[in-house]
Amino acid sequence: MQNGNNQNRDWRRLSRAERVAQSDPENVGTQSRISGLVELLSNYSNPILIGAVVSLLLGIIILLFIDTLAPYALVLIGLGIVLLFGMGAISLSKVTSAFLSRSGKYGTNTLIMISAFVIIVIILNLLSIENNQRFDLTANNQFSLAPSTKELLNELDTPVKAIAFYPSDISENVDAITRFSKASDMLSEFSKRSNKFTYEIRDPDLEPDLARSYGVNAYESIVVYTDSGELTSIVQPSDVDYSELEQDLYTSMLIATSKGQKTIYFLEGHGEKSILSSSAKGYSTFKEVLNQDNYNTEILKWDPTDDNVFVPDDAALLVIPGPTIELPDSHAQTIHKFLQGKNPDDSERRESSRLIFLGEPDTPESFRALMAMWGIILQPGYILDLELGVTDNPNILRAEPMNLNQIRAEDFELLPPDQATIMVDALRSITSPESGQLGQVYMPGTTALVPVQDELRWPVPLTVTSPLSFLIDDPDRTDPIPPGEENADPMGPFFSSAYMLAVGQLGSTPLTAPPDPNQLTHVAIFGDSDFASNTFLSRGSGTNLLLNTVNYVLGDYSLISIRDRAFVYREFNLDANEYDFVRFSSWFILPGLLALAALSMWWVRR
Amino acid sequence: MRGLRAIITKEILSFFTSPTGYIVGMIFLLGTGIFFTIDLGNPFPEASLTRFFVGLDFGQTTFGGVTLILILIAPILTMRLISEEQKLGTIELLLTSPVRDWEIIIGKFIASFIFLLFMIGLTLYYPILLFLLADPDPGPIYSGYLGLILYGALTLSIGLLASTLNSNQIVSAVVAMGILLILYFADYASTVVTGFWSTFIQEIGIKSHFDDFHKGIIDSHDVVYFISITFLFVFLSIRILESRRWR
Repeated sequence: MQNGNNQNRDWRRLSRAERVAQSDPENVGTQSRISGLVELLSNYSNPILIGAVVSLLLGIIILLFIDTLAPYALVLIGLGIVLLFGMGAISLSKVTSAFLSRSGKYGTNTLIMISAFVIIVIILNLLSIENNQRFDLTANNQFSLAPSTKELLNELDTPVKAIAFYPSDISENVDAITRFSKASDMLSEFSKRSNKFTYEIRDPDLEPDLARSYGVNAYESIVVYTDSGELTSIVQPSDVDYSELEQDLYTSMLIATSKGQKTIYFLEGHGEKSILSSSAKGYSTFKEVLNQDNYNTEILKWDPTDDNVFVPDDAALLVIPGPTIELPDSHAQTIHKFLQGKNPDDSERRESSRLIFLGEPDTPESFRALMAMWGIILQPGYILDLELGVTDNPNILRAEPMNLNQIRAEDFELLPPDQATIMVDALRSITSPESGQLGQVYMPGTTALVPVQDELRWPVPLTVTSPLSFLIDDPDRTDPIPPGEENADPMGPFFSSAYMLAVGQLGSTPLTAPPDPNQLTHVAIFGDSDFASNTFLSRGSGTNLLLNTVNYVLGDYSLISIRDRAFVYREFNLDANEYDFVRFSSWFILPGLLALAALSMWWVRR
Repeated sequence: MRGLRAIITKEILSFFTSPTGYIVGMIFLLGTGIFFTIDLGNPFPEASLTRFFVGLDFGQTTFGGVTLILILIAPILTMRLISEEQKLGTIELLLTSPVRDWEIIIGKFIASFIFLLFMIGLTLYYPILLFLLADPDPGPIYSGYLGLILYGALTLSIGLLASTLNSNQIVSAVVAMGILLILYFADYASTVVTGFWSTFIQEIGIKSHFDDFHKGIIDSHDVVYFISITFLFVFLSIRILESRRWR
């Protein structure tokens, strides 16, 4: 039609260029060749267009997924664009008329509406990713992260990556599947809480080099690292139930992001228990749980004959675990100085003064004197609790952590305002954290503590015995002498552990102004050292009480709320009849009813 | 709105008065029943609907369950909705009747959704059994059913779009199944690539968005995903039906 129209057009309406071209025989030849080519291309417009689109898509896909083939992808994209525009230019009139026709206008309109709708959907989804809310409906909040974990994830300023190395061929191993699911769920929760936390799951059997490059030498390891940092933390979930996985990941993030690691020193040289000992009375478990909480643990060995002892400058906390021999004077002076925030030469320490003392009924007198100077008196004798003692072994006390609810409002009103605030804060952090009120703590052979309260010290009892408890001064006697009889034993309730915030030793000058935080001395004291031993630490709430105390004394409140997470397995336990009923009724009753309905419908419509 | 009501009523009646709907329902319940009981023979089966919702556990992934069955069933439910009208020529009558295009599509969508709710409602037999014979955690059951309803709506909307595109019911069903299977397996594909593309493919897939629901978590993002994508496909269906007027 176009050619016919051209032929019928008046010569005067030809453009100057056309007239020149028509008059030139060479141009006529060239023009006819171009027209032929255009006509040829027009005849094959459909395959060319398909080829252009395929080339364009292929180029985009290669560009997105295979970096190394990027130049070829760009060539393909370029070819696709050239072909598309070329065909558009050749069939310009068709393209124009398609757009200007009625259907073209409607089509464009529809295309715009669809595009707008798609964009709205994409924006909505992007917004919902950034501002999502998650509601955990499980009975024990299995998928809820602790507030401190959420806080840490929200505050991530650098992308943190995790690679979980789990073998993929675990379909036959139910336990492995369960562990994988828990790890995968936890990592998923972490990634959904922060777009700066990403994770991948890799098979160490398929990618051994990758695993090796991260120092992974065991299955079920999770590597946590940042691109910028040099620190890589390898998490190997510590228990088979993965109940501490959140805490493990939390700690590993702290390590990977180079958040400060504090050093805790364990004193030795006076018959103390050793953190390197894995015997029943040893403290190796205590050391492990502290390391899991991102604390560095060191031994501080003081030779009793050496007078020039000191507490290293990086000691954030000093632990004295169950000493059995007397403390030399010079050592006592060094500890006093440490608790005053000073070095032996009276220079100011970098870290402030924090101490945990684990005593015994037979704690040497010099250590008793040391603690008494800071306001906590270790009573002579051990506690026999007729109500909370273990039935077969009444020497083992099941101490009740102090509960905020146990303290009556009128008792609080009697306390000075500072004391009440400190008590609520400490108990809320140590014995009644957000993760739940602590249970009983097993303390074998504990003594009673009497904290001194004055205007320079604010004691907080942490565990308490029952009113039916006695303080017996003879370790060989197991029958208490009740009140009213001669030489009656003192009756409880007693405190078996306490936290004390103090400004100076007993007899220090009263303060005239609120103390500077660096002037404050934090001391936690336990009437028993065996409860932190390998045998007893994990019984009851021992680990949590001790770790919460360490966290609180060190001011690491964030770690307190992340403690073991209970996974409750709800079994579908059926006897043979119930099993058959459930199976066959599920297979046949409902489908059978619908089959009957279908049959009756067919019958009616027949 | 009268037109919408009329369409819904007509379609619901056609679902409940034809043997096809019941046969589809029967297959659906047989499949879900098998998945619900598949773990019972194992030692220490769990009192949960995990197998019913997401099927069997294959180490690092799951496969099957009602989420897979719906991919096969929803296109069968929706394949005739518009395709049949196109094939029989009654679509012209519908388009010239005093009913708006959106009323036709939304009416048919709501009717098929009600029938799906009826089928899902019958599966409540399984949690009832669980509550009678064991002590399941109710949270994941509630959230799982919420997710299932949203998931079902999405599968129906894709089926409806496929039905609008073609006058052949079989082709419509196959196209819908194809789209749904791609969206279902996108989750598996996301493990092949890493980084941004892994996240992107996972975001597109429907299975990854359902996974939280059956575990007992309701994530507002997943809810937004299902609702927005359902609306998108319903909107596309309306536009495509409308295009018949000017094509």
